[in-house]
Amino acid sequence: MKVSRRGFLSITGATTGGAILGYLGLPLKSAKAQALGLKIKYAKESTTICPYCAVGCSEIVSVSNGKIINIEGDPDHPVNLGSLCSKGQGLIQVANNERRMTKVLYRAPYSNRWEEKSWDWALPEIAKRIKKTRDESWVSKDKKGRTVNRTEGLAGLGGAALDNEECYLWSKLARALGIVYLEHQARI
Amino acid sequence: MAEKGILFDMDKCIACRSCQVACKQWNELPAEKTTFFAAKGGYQNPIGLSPKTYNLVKFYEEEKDGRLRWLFRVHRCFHCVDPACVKACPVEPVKAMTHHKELGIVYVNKELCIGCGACNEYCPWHIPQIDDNTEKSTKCTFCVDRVTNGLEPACAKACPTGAITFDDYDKIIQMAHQAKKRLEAKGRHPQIYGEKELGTGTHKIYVLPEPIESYPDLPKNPKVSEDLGFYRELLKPLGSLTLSAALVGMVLTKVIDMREGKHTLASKEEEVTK
Amino acid sequence: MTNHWIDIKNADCIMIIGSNAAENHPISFKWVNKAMENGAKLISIDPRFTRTSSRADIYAPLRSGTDIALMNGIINYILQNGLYHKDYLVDHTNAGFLVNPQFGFKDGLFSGYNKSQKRYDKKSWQYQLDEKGIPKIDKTLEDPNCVFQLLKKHLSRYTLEKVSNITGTPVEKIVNIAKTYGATGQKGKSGTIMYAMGTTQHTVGTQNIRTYAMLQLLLGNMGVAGGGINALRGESNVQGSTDHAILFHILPGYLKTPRSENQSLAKYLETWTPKSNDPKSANWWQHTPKYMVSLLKAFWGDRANKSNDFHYEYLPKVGANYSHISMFETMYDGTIKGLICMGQNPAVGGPNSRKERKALHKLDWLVAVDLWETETAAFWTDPEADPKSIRTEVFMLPAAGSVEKEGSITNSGRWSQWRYQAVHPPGDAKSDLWILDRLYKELKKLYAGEGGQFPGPIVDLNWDYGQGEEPDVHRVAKEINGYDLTTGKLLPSFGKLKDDGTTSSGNWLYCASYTEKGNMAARRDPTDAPNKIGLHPHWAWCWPVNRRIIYNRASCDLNGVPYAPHKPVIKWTGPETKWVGDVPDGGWPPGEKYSFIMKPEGHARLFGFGLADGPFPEHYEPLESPMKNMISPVQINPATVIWTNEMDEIGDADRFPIVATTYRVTEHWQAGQMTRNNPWLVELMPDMFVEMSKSLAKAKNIKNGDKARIITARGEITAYAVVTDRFKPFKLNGKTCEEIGLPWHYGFKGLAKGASANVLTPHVGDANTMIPEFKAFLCDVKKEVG
Repeated sequence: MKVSRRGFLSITGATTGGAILGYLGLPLKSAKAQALGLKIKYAKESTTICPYCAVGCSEIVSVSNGKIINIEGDPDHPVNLGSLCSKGQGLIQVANNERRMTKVLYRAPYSNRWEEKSWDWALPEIAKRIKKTRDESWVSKDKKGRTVNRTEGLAGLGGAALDNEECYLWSKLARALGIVYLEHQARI
Repeated sequence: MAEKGILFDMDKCIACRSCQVACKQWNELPAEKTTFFAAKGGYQNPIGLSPKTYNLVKFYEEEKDGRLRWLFRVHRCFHCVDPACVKACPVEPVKAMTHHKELGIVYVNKELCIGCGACNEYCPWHIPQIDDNTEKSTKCTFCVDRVTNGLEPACAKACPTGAITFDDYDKIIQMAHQAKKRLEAKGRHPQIYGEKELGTGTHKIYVLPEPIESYPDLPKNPKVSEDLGFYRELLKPLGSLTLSAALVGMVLTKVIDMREGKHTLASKEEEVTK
Repeated sequence: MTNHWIDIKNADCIMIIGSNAAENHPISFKWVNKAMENGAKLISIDPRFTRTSSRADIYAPLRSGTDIALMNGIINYILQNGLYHKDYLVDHTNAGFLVNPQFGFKDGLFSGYNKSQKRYDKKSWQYQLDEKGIPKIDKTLEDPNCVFQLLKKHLSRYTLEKVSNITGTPVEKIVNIAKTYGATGQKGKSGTIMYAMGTTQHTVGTQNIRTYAMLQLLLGNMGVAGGGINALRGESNVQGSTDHAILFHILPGYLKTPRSENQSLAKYLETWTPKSNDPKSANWWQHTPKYMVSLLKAFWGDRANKSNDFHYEYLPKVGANYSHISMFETMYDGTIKGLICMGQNPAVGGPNSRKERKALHKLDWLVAVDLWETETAAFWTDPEADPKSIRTEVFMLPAAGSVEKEGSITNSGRWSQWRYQAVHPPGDAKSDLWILDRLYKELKKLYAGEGGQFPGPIVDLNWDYGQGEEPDVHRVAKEINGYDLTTGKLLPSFGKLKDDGTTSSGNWLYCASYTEKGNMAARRDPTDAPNKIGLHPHWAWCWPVNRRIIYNRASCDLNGVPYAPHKPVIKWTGPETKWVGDVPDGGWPPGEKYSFIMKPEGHARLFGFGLADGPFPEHYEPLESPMKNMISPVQINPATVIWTNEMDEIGDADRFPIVATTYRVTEHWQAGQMTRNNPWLVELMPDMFVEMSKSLAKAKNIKNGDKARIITARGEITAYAVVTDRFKPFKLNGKTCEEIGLPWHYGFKGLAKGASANVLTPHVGDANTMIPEFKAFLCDVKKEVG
């Protein structure tokens, strides 16, 4: 790994020249880091783009034993040049947070509690409900007799926190289902 | 490696507090339980420095000559050129309050620290905070582990606006004077704080865009307590002892006083805040 | 953003209005500070003195909801004092275009208003055409029917005193801003406008933005370095999610959603493909058929072909406005039965959120996909709700966070940037890509097995993202880019798209993002371009076609010489070497094509005849306002829809005399779950608060740190009172008016809980976009006792 002028915690040297890395795991092994006690010394590093506002700051994520141990600004990114705001700087607490949802949860009608469920149960159940609602609310022709092929009984909301590829699939799937009530954060 | 300094160009600060979070992340410090009105100055939280908070952004609102100003100040250890806390540290022969003279960094060696609180007592700003649980002194380390590895301190790295800059000490001093000139050209009344304070100065240099009176909790003429010399004399005969029940006499009393007075010490920091 | 974050450093003056960039986009201040170090002036216009204002050379307060009055006053001053950039106006805008003499404006209404429908008939808002069907232009700008003269006439009513009486901004501040910002009208100077939701979240939001765009055009600030009109977007991929059209009115790449009347592909294309008879107009949207057919090919693959109209009938046709407010009104009335919510939290973030929470009670089922237990997923635990009476089934699906999956997101400067997976998601959490993929496969199985209503678009959907546990995100990215279906190769750019079914592209705007050369969004070469203005063209990738500053042909005169040679965006260097610098807005030689290529007339519009509520911005009061409109007898935007259903109460100034606005703080983010569960950020901003002036606090006997109750026609909340000089009462036509401010991040779930400000906000939106009026409404304030 080529260490840039800013020292380590910098990944540019390894990825310029159009190389596409499917999984960017670069062990941090500069001579300096090995010589002195630094907690990120043996961590694997990869870059990410901050999930908060749309400045699009790059961050370096250090992982040790499958756990994130440090996240800080990417000094090579031309916009943030290594700096971050308080939110971006606190990103590690999104990844390592006991309040995260880790199970599929289901709330039955009139119930006052969540039940833990599996994906294998939930996905077919959700699909059945989508199908039922879609089929019952299907409008193939409007009052003027025009073919409209839509459902006004199903709605989709949200997407500004999704990746582009996820947004695209969501947009595509919603259209295939005939959803017209499709909106997200950009509207509000 | 040359002597290091950090410039706090407070005119450029937008109080985003990324330095506060960066400090917590790098030093693995937990969050404090706070409420909105813990401190004056509106948005400031927590109330003051503590064993969980080495770095704190303070807020000041003032209206002067019909102009409203919202001023910010990053508060933490000054890393004195001639640190009183190191002198006051009773642990010998190797001080727990460690002075890395080459770099100009002052940090706590937690393995040696006895948590006596002398560092707080004799710090002109009462910065070091004693952790009740671990009985160790805590404060800004200047990210000595990062600096000795060629990385800048976490706060300086995180700062988006150029308000916190890490560099060689002589460059920091130059930059401070440039910043002062820049502000004077804009009709402000800036002040450099830290270059000459305590006679020999500190490694943390502020450029305050407004006169020091606008920052009421920052002592205009910080001083090292006059009894530091006396206290050090008292420590001498015990120099080679490690802390144990063998500690007797005045020194023991002094040390115990300070340990038991730790709440008073912590509140001193609060008083300064207010 | 027409420009991008780094480009802020090139500005000579920065106006931040409707945005609190220092708090909500702190990294922008790296570049604001850089510009200021080089002598730029910073202007902050905000009802409240913010952390942005603390850095400003000029801070000006204005009453929420009066941006148009202020900007019209500033533009009027600039016109009266000749501060505008005349060459730019003539060459790049429609200033000289002649308008139908039937066009007029009287008593607050433009010509063509239909009172019963609350709509304009825009026939009289059109250009005069010559015999070839090309708009007539008077380059002297003197014809009384030319846009420039009509604009001057319209704005002459906005005198400094009148504007000050409406906005509460002191006259000397208005003049100071007009002079300081107006100085960027000089050739070679540039000014940038940074705005955000403070601008858009009004019943006149679109027209607010238009005033900024017009100011920028008058001063020659569009297309140049350090210029532009820069919407600072608040969510990491809200640009991408908009580009990919998770919105009812568009399809990916801003293609129009088919309307009920567009009964065939031919009809659709005829309706939505703009035409121009002017050979000098590039009229870029003339390529609509290529983009639309390529989209249909991406959606339905081999099954979409010429003989079946590329399965155009598979796309739903819209018959009404299905935007956010409308969605929740319809949900409340019981028409919508099922909602899939992908990482959005309307129970906190939606307007009139008490009603929106109630609307969720009416659903048969809700699927909520999120990292956290949001107030939306757990709406049935709302302190106001009784779970025993709520029938809705809720599926809460745990989602992966940003560092737990791979993909791209698009920032405010239109840069698509790739990010990598660092760790696995916790527990059973899965990426949204995985969830969507599995859900589709279940649906396909059901429709293929059992049939059902119109199964074609589902069973025929082109959906193959590999056999791995996780769908292959690269396959999706490539599909978005698009293929030459004859060779199977990825297309190099949208210039290669065709309307005959031989190409596919999921989003024409992203065609060039993932080519045979690789994944452009993953590029990490920080080298700047030779013109050294901070374009960094080899870092990530930017739409369209890696153009970092859009409308950049307008940065040059008609000979291709930059107006600002010391910071050129592009420059014509002759027929051999052509344009250098940024990717030009079309490679034609200078003068051969007009510069604003997305408009059929090729010129930027000072006269905007496409809007619902008038071709020029006109001040109307917010739906809830303490003042009678002082500029005309029309009180509110005459083209705005007002709901009057249950729970849509509107407050009046007698009961609710205080203006309220909402905003965000640097330490929290949007509806709060991403920060209110983060202990370090909770430490910084633990509680809900309300900011108010010292005079209001005194009148209400409220002290700093007390709890205050804030009441509107729709609900009430309590919050800690921050009594501050940063809010000052406004002087409006001799009357004193107080304003308070509320952060809207809090809710009843999470590590930090607090009252939701949106309990207070109304269900009313902008006449063009239906973006809700979060930023100006009426309330009363009381001291909370006990």
